[in-house]
Amino acid sequence: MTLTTTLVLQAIAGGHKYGFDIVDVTGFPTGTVYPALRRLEYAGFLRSAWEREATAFKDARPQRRYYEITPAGAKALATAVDPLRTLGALNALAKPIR
Amino acid sequence: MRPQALARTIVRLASHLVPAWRRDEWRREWNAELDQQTRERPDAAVARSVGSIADATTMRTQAMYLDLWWGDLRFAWRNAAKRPAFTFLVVSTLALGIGAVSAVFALVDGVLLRPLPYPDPSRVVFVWQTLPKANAFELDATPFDYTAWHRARSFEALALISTGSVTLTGSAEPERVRGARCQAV
Repeated sequence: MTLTTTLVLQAIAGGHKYGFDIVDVTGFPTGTVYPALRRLEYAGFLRSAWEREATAFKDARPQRRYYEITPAGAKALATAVDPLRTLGALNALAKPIR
Repeated sequence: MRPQALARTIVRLASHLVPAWRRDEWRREWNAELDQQTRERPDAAVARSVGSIADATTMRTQAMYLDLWWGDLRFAWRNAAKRPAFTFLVVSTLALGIGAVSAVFALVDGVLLRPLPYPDPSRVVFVWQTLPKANAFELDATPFDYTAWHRARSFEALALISTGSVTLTGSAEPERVRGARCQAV
């Protein structure tokens, strides 16, 4: 899994459930986020569904398509994030280069 | 052109790349997001709508695998329906070929591959007599031979068998049948 895809999956796991929200939180352009969403859904790591009409009506906006991480996605995310955590820990231990 | 209208136009144009059966949903998702975006930050709507082109291309690529497979299947079916004689010939050839291969395999499996229904079949042998000087081979053993071989202890067990034709009689017409006499071990 690429770093971009991992971050998109991490954003969804963190509660950012629709396209532009994921764009905002990751800082990636829509042309990166949406294809990643399609690939993740195609791979079975995500599932998507339209939000309830009543909720959208109450907030006076069109219905959004929400993305949710699947158990397979959670497993893939854990596998992808693990080496990044190790890298982060190593980076914290490293002395700054002068 | 206002940013909202321009953004919608970009999405509409990009939607032509999306496979028809997913186009409406795809457009609905993008328009919903852009509507919200236009209300909050109208200046960013156009920039964000440009991403729909990459998204639509991804959808097209994903669907292409399915489309190709389905297209090939339909093409084959149409051609087969157009030339029924040729189709019949091909199907018959395949059926005969598959049938012949299955029959040969069933024979090979029964005769060569499947083990005989008793333990250590490789230790079971037929014993014959040979008289090279008389140019006589595979002669049946006599009861005297049997006793001698049994005494020699070269075999774990021995039994005599003699095959031939016998006449079966009874209340109906007598009948000539092939049979074998064998010794109970």
